[in-house]
Amino acid sequence: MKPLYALLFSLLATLAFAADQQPGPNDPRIELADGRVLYPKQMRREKDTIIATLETPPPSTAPVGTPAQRADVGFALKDIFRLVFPKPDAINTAPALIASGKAEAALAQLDPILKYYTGFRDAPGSWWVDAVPLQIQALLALKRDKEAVDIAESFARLASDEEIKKLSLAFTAVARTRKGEHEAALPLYDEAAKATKRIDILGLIAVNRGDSLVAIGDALKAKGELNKSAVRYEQALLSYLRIPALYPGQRMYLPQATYGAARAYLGIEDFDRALVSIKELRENFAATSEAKATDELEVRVKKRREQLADPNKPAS
Amino acid sequence: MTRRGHISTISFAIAFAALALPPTIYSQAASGVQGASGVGLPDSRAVKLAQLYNGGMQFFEGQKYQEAITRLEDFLGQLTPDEISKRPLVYLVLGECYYGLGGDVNFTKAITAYWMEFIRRWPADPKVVEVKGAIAQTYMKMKKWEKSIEWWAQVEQMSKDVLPMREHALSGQAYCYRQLKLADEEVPVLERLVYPDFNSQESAEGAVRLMALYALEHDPADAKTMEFADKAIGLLKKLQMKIHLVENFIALNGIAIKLGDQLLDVNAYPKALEAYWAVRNREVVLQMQKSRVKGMEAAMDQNIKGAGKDPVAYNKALRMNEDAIKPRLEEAKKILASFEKLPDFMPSLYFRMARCHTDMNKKWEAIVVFNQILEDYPKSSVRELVIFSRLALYSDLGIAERSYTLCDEYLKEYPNGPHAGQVAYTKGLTAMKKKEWVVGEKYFEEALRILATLPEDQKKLYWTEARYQLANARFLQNKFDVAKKDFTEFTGEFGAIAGGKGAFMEDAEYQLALCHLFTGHYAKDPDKAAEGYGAIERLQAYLAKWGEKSGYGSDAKYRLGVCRFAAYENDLCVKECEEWLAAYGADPKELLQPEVYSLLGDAHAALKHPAEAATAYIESYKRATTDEVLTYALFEAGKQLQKAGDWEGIEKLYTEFVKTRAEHPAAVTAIYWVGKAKAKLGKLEEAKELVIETLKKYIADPKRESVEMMLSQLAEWARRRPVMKVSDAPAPKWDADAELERMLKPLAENANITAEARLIYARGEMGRISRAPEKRVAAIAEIAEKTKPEDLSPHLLMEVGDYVLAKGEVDRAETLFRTLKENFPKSERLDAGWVGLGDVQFARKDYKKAMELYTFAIDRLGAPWKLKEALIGQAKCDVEAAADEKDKAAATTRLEKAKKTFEEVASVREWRGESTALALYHIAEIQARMGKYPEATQAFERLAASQGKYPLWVARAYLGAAEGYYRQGKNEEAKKKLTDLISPRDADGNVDEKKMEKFKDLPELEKARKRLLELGGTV
Repeated sequence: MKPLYALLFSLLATLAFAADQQPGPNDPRIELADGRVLYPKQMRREKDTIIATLETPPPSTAPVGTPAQRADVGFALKDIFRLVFPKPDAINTAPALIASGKAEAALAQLDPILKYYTGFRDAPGSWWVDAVPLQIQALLALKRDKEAVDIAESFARLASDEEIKKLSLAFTAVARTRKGEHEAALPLYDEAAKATKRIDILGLIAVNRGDSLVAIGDALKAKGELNKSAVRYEQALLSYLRIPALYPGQRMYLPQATYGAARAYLGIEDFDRALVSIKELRENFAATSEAKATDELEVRVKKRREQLADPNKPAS
Repeated sequence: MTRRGHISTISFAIAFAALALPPTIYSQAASGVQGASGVGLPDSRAVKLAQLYNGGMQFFEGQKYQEAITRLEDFLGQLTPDEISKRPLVYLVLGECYYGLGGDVNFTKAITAYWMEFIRRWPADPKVVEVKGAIAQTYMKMKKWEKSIEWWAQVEQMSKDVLPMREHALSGQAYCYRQLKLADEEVPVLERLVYPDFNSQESAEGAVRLMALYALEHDPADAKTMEFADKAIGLLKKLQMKIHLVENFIALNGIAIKLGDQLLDVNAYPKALEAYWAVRNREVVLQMQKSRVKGMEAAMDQNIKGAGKDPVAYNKALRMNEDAIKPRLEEAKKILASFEKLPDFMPSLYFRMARCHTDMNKKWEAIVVFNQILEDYPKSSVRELVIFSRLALYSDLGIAERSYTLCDEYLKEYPNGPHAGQVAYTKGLTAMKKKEWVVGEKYFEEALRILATLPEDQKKLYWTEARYQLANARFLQNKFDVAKKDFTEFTGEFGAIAGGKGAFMEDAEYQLALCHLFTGHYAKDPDKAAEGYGAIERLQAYLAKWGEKSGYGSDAKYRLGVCRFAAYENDLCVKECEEWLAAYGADPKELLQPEVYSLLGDAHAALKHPAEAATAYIESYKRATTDEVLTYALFEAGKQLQKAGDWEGIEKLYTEFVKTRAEHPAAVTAIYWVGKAKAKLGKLEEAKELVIETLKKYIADPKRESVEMMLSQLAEWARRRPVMKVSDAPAPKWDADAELERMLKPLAENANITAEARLIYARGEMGRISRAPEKRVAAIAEIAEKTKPEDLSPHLLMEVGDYVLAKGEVDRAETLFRTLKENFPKSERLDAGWVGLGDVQFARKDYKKAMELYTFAIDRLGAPWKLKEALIGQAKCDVEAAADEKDKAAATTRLEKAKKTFEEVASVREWRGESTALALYHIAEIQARMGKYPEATQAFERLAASQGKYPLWVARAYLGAAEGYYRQGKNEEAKKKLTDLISPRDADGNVDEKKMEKFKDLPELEKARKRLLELGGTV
């Protein structure tokens, strides 16, 4: 560690400098690709250009009281390293609200953010890309699948940035899952997962891919293709468990993941683990729709377990 | 903000003094001069003082401290005390100058001569707190940590409401304590800095340090210190939320890993995971650090660009860059460079996370993590370990197929890997856990081959286990001869290790004794010395070596009894059982008690001691822990009581059972026996009542298998005329059907489809008992028509399945038998499902599949209901297979085998009936196929003479005999045989009308006519 006093000096110096010369760290700014940083008073997007209202301070030689000048300046998206907006609180609070069964409240908080940032869409630094998965997850938590599908498809349409377009694959896949087009959704999830390292998107992929795999597993089981269905259930399980094992911070996906894991455990006939998942869901996410759905699932798990323990029981 | 305003808000900070103070001093000096000039002309003292002051300040600004000191001390020396009292700033600047000169002497001078003097002279000055801070800071520079702490404590006290200054003071104290290695003192200071919250870079750095100290305080050996781990985790989480405040997140990452490791060491898995989850991966950290470097570089550029052409602003920006940003930039680049040189920690971190999951019994989560390592870091140093650990988890989870594949993949990639032996062994063990003994045998054979190629130290780790398990796999497949050889070799190879008590030796010796038992080699035969000891000697040797209380002690003793029983030494068996009961009977945990009592019952039964046998069986059923033993002992007890003529005993036995185990599946059968006993005891009406009441409860439930038996019993009872009082009047005609209907009436109320089918069945049973089999067939046909398979009980599925198959409705029969097989896998009649499906496949000419199904029914299910049909099925399959054999010798072998099976069927007294005729026909047919026409002809003739009750087989026998004669060149005999079938005659040569009637509708008659014409006969 460097000497503390050196740190103290530099700290005070930095504070002094910042206080005297620069806007605060929470002020929106544009970081240009050439290294310049600008602090616009306002910003908006017009096609692939960000229009910034900039204020130019008077030179030090100017008479005291000379007002700053304002002008709208356009910057092509390609010239922008990123836009820096303060992180909206709802981006932090919505996941917890969704996980605690308050998805309506999450949607209410996200609404103004989505309205504001939809203008910027996928401009680098826009919070739109972060807000949309939350909105979709909130809608799914409320079982408003149709709206979630619309949002997912609209994301795919609106994205123009190549990187973001790759993310839109995940949303397209989610839409497919929700429409019941499970086989078609799977390759999209795989491609989308390769295209991003964003854990919010990877979380979205994990749980919805799991849902598709369970649905495929159920269909195969109904057809009597037990070996094939077991493979799908196992894949589903490994997909769902990415949330608690790899992205535990993505709490909003945990109810869906835990519920899905319980279904997959039922599929592979690991009843104890299925019941543990149900218990976890009830204890940790009691207010969620997934927790409420566990009653029916628990009955299915116990029935199947009893049936295997007492094979004379006719299959339900 | 104006420059003056800025100065008033910026504290008197040593490093900043050079930037902030000089203009102020200028202005003060100027005002002093102006003040003097305002009184009159400038006098020489005032001019000199102004020159000294301004010169001093200029030198100070130019960092020429010695020159500044000379002038300012001269300046002070010329002032009057009153003038001095108005010049506090000069003391501050002089202190700063001495500080700037460096060295302990100058630092001391700065502190004692000027800053402490400032505090003494102007104690109420608002800058006192900053001066104290400067003193504390200077003591730090002098490494006088205790003194520095004293001054920082004063600053802390004075700056309660000024957060930056307070944080500064606390950071200073903490730093000093750290230098003094007084962690116990440092912690509370940092706690004052960090709690309740931290929102600056300085306090965030304190939080990082405090987290590290908490981690150190946590002693894995002392559970009480877990609270420190909790506190550390709490801070870690908070720091994650405020990562933008953390100067050195690489250090933070390191602390998180260390904290996780400590927690992992004490098995605090969830907490360890929380720590690990806080670690950012290498790429992210690199990216953050690069961004940080880039950000600082951008800030420096921005400072210079922002200053434009203003020389003062430019100078200020330059100093800011040089003094404040550049050192941090250098430091950040250094950290980045050393971090880039480090190997990626993520694979091993993930591995530790997986270990946490595994130890929390979250094996699937661990697999997810392992998959991630292999996906993200396919060539990491932990790859081999990850692949091995993952397959071990799959094996633990019982996902056998995946485990086998992963084992193969491991062995392909690491044929000589450090876990190669263990993997080969695990593959076999996985199969054993799944009870896939055949696969287990194969894999342990492979494992032994692999182990043999490995270095001795690796080989020996699993060699013994694999050797034992191979024998065990064969033992569990009932391959007792091979297993016997394996165990013998095993005990030979490892018998000398650990005084003959090495690993698996006890199991091997015991199982070897059992191999002898199960192959019927009970005792040493003096005439066959080569066979060595039999089961009895081996079990006795086992007990002598390992003791009665050894792992298999009680089992060995029980098996000794079994050996005696099997060897027909029933007295000795009774003795062994009694000894067993004396040795182990008092132990309530002894699980073999029911088996031993059953064996005792069997021995007594064999000795024809029905009362003793019944007593033993009753003890057995009362102690039974499995349904198999309970059912066996309960009904054997009943049989023995029946033999003893003890119907009261039977009534009591089953009544007690029904009362205590009303929900047991055998309760219905027990009630049947209670009813039967009551009927025997002359309480027929009571018996009927009891059975009807029972049926009311169970008739609608297809799982209750004894319902059909009770309905048959009711039908039989319905035929019995009640005992009438002696009277001269003739007894009225007894209407059995009406009586049955009377009894069925309460059962018909609210009957579901299952109950309705059963009521039809009961009426059909009346037909069977009344020698009107067509009524029974009609009843089964009615059930077949009215019900769906899922509504039928196992018995009715069997009956209806047989019926529709006989009608040629193969697909429908398959559905019925499949329902029986799949919905009632524990049914007593399960074998009927398998045999029925065998018949279905036979009808479809898939003889191979049919043979598999018949064989399963016999070998695996014991075919309690359909053994005869299964044997016939097997034999018929062999006949068909022989026809398809191209190799004549193989075909003959098949036919011999089939013949033997048919002979077995024909020889069983209990099976006498149409199946005997069928078997005899096939025996003759096989001989014909083998070209043994005289033997075949004789066999057909015998059949025709002995099985007159079964015209179909008689007719076929006539045809067969005719063909036999023809093949022997005896055309006349052949024609006579055919004529006998077409126009049978009695001994007097008259047409045998009875035979004519029996044969008239058979298709064989037409065949006979056709064949007779072919042979030149006349019809």
